[in-house]
Amino acid sequence: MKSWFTRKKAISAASKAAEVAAVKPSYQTLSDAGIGCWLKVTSMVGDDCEELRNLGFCEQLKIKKIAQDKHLLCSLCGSKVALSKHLAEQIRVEEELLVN
Amino acid sequence: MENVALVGLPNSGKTTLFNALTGEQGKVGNYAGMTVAVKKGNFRTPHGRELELVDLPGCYSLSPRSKDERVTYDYLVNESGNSQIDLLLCVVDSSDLQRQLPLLSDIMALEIPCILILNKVDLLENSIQKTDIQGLSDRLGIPVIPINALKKSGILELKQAIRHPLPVAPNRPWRFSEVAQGQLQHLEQAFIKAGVKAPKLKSQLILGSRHYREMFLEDFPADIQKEAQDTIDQIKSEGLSAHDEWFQARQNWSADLVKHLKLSQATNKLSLTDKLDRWLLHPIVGSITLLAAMFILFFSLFTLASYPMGWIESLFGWLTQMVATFIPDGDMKDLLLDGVIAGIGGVLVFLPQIILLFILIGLFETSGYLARAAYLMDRMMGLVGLSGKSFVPLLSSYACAIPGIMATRTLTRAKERLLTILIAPWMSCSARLPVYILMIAVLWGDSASTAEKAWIMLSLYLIGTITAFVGAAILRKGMKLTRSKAFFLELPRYQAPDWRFSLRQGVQAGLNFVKAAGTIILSISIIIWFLQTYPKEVNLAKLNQDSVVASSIESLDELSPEQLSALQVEQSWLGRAGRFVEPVFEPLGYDWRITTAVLCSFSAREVFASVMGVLFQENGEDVENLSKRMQQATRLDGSQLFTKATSWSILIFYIYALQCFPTTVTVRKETNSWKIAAAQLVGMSIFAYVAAMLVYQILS
Repeated sequence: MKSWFTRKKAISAASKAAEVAAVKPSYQTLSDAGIGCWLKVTSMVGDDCEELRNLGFCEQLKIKKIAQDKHLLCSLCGSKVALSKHLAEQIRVEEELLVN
Repeated sequence: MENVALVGLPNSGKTTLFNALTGEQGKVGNYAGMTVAVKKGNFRTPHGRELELVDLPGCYSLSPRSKDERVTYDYLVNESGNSQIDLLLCVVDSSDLQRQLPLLSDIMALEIPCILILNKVDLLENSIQKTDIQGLSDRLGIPVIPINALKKSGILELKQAIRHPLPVAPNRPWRFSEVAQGQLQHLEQAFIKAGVKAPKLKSQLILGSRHYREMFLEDFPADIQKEAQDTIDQIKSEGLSAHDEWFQARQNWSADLVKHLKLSQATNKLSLTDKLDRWLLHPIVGSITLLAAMFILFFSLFTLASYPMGWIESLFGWLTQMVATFIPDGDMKDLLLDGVIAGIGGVLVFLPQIILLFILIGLFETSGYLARAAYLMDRMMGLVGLSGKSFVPLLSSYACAIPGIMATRTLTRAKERLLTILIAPWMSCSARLPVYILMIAVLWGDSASTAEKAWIMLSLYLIGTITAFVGAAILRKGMKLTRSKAFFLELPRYQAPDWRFSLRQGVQAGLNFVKAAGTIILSISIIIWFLQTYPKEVNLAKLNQDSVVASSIESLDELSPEQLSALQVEQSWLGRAGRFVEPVFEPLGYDWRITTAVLCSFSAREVFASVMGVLFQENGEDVENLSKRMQQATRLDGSQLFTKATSWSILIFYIYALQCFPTTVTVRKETNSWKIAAAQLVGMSIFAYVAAMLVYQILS
């Protein structure tokens, strides 16, 4: 009985996760990404792309998101920068595994 | 003389290198956006050749987005023909190469000989090998010199590299895809045929940067505009984007070079900067730290500066005694005692505080904390339509509004820049310091402790700052300035404050202050003394109804020496002029003496303390007793002159009034509008008058 309930719970959780994944977009933006992990820029989409590129953001760039409050604090290419959520939402990223 | 220009991203170390090469004292700071104007100096190579060195404002790209970047672009492209560059030194921060090298690729398109300077090399985790440097130089086709400008290492090697023949002008180091490359070359040829300056750079910017096209396309001849548009359309028809091609080509080239250098890879290790920022960037802890830092700054002004202030007071006391002893009685003695010593001494006593203020601001600027303060202030400044980047020009204005107003060149939005310029004079500058300190002494005397005086001083600065923010909130509605969404700020690594630069900055500010004291203030003190002393004759027939003595007096013998002296001053040219203007400032609680001091200080605010010194000093008296004399001063009716209401009225007037013509001239230059400058001057003067009047009327 106990194992039946456990199996039911697991199936329910899995289907819920699948539903959420179906609704959520397939990419994540720098604004959505978790704090403390290394990320790789996959693309930039939005009106401020040119400015972001001028500031050094580009595809394949590795970024570490350090903190997020009103703005985001990130580390990239040895520099630390603060940028607004508006700009961060235009940078699409994926998680990057980094080995020390 | 050959011309060498320094170019690079903001905070890459250009001005530090400029100072190291020329021995000059260009303003440095660990903050992106310190240099906003072209600065020139000379230096000699080991071969004895003298070269002119030009320091340019930092720029992220040659498609300028702010006024300071435009300054660099105009100088490099040399549209006016006034800036012929023979050699470019492209300075990059070695720890951030991948972001900094794309600018180098644009610089190379200028077809001017250049040298790549790898600055801050010793800050890299893995040191660059000499073979890597040579390899990089071979790949770029230009000399590469590793240095540390702050520690002055590598400077000799750099000077040796600048020898004849100069390096060959490099080619553009990257290529578009085949189809787009053909189109780019075709456009380049069209630019060359049309005689366009910097054709390679402009052709790639026209194709690659939408922002550049929006700003500059209309400046080109009509046929070139059509040629450019046709080229973009042609590339588009091939299923490509010129914009993406350009950025991708530069980035790939930069990434390839960095890979070649095998520099330190991204790591999870926390640096000291990261550990400090955990607290200093925290919204609550960081804000408290910022407030505490400001309080310590003002506390230091009262504590550390009190010793040298005492020495200066003693010096002037000794001078007073010498003059009183050795100069015979007469007009010359009076002039020296009541004009020169009283006037100059009343102002020079504040010299240590001026120097200390500039030293402390310099320590702030060079440590890297300034950027953190800008980040923390962004939240508050966003409420009034400004961004945290406006905080740096406003902070500079605490020292002097002129460099603060010029520092607004780093702001990319024109309305935000204008709004910052309009409110900058309300950041209490160093010239107000003598007025504040004098009036705090008059109001509180010895009853307030040093810490209390520091809090009072901080409050005066906060009054001006808060009013500036409120003014910005009101003005931005009229200007339709919305909050900036695209906020970006570099937070440089913390470094030990540059004591040498800060001390030099403080001493330079002190010298400027002494120079002003020796010229403007001395002149005004002598004029005030003269106008107050003559005519010496007293005429009882000209007694006013509210004169210092009763109109029933029939003979001068009936008057005491003090009454005779007061009557003489009243009937002097200064007294008559002051009485004439007095009704204008009467609602503020000022008598003719304070009115005279306020009007004279429109030439320089420090003059207030000097004129007080001349008008309230007595023969042979120490300067330090000026505040006590002012506390005891009375009006013609015998009531106290410097009441709480009058003193606060004076303080409020000086917080808000724009009494600095050089600032107005700078505003005119930066806004290109006499209307804006005049409106600011008149508007702030009226605001100061009304505010001071309200304070006086309420408190009395």
